Amino acid sequence: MVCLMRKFPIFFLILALSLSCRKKNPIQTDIPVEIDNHPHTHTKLGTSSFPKMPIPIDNETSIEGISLGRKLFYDKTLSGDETQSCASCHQQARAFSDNKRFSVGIDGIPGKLNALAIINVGWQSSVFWNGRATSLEEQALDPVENPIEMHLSWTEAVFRINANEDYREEFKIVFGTDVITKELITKAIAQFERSLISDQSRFDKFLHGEIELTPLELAGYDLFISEKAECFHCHGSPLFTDDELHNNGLDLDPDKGYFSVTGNIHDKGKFRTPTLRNIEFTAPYMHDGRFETLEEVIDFYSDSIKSSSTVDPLMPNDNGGFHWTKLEKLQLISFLKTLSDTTFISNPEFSNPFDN
Amino acid sequence: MLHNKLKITVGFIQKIKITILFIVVSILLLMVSCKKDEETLDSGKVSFFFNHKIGLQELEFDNLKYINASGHKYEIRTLKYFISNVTFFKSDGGKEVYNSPIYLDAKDSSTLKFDNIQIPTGVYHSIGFTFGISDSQNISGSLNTVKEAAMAWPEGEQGGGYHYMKLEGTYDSLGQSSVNKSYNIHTGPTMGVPYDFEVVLKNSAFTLSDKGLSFEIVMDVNEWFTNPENYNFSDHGQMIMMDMNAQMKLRANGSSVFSMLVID
Repeated sequence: MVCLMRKFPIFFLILALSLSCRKKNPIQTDIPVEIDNHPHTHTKLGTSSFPKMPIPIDNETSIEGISLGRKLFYDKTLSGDETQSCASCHQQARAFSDNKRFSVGIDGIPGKLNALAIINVGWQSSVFWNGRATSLEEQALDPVENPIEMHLSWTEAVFRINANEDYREEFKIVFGTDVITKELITKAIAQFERSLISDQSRFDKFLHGEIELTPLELAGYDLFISEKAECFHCHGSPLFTDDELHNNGLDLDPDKGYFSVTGNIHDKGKFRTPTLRNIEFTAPYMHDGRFETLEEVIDFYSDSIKSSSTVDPLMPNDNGGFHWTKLEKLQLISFLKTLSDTTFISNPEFSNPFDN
Repeated sequence: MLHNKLKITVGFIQKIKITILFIVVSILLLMVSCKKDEETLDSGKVSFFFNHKIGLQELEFDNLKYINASGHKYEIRTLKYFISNVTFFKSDGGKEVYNSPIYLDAKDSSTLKFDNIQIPTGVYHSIGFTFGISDSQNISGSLNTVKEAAMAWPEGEQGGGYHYMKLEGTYDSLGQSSVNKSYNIHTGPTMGVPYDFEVVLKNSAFTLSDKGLSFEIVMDVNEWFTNPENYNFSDHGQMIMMDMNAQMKLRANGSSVFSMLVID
């Protein structure tokens, strides 16, 4: 062969060129190629019945990252007097919300908005009731320093976490560095939050043909997906949120809502559509927690919608509501309770690791 | 001596012949293996974007200033829709088809631009697409993003799949109500009956060279409400998902909604 190559160098040169011209098959891989050289285990998040979860390219999820984020989520050293963690206002038993109208921070000062539940947040394009954060990482920066919440400077928070040798080792595994920063802390917390997936409700089992719903629940479902009740355009399956902000007609003079983010007067009164999954566990309701029960919420949509210039076109803004009968209200509430996922609120993988 | 010289010359010529033969074979091999690359040299890049107008005016959301053919002053809050089967029809009878549904949100510019689509150069007599998602592709749960999922058309009696369009806003009800009433133009496969339709853009003939081509596709929102049917919000303002009459009017009006403008 070498002899032939010497004899006919031009032929072999052209042959080599011709082979190099062949179209290459695209490299296909399910898992991002690990260019980082630290021993974490990339993992995929999601569920086959949901859309694809959009995960930021600079914070790929790993098993170790979720585990680290879980510890940080439950760690009270991230608050000024070490009495509160994220989990103080986002309790697993309440689908990662709390039962107060307004959560109270370490200094005894209540907030101004109801604590949002953390359910399937990996699919959200914005966070907070007014949608002011565009990622979970950005959102997690806020409560630590907020003077009416955990009230701790990030400088001190980072110092405290860096002082813990176990954390330094875990950060090295997850992010390849033991120099811990607030950005890395919030990245880890965001990874844990993305893992909080709820898809095992009775309604999911019904869709998979595993169980039957009662006639009352089924009637509620039919009503829910009809224009008579008009629930589904904002709270459609499978996430039971449209990931948008709306003014649902709570007030004649609505709160600021999205207006405080955009400065656009047409956004006044618009708040993020919360998911209805696990709604049974997340009372009280609305951005200001004004309704204590689901019955009150249903009564509001039935008969108390207020007209204002920014009320959503999906709301019947000129006649006070959808005007459901007593039976229809019962049906709707029965259906809403089929969205409760008891495995979500009892999953040991989501629980306080410091209790174990 | 002469004999030896002749022998050397003949041998030299034979060597040259063999070398030439190898070069020719090799070049042929090179040409065959690079055929794909040559084909791409015959392609041009097409870029286009969607724009939304009311008559000649650029769409401005949240402004009650437009008047439709039924005399209602109206404003627009939401305009989201799907197109599918984008097709470039060649004059020689061929066509380039992109079947997948495309989600567009008039408020989100990232959904409105399509850059550098590579199609063969040549003469094309028109461009078309399906408004909505063609029936064979309109299957619940088949689309992958949160925004697409939020366009779901309910299962059960309504038929499942996805909305073709959500066009929402308020209108002056001309004395019917003390406040502006709402309209929700939600089109889709009502009770499982498809109402998607084919759009062939008028004056969309073009010749594509390897320099590429850009064009703008314009939706005139007012055309949804006229030509040939006057669409009246008082009759079909809300709850039209099960209203076949409203769906048929909108489908009929849809053929004059889109137009095309070649930019360069």
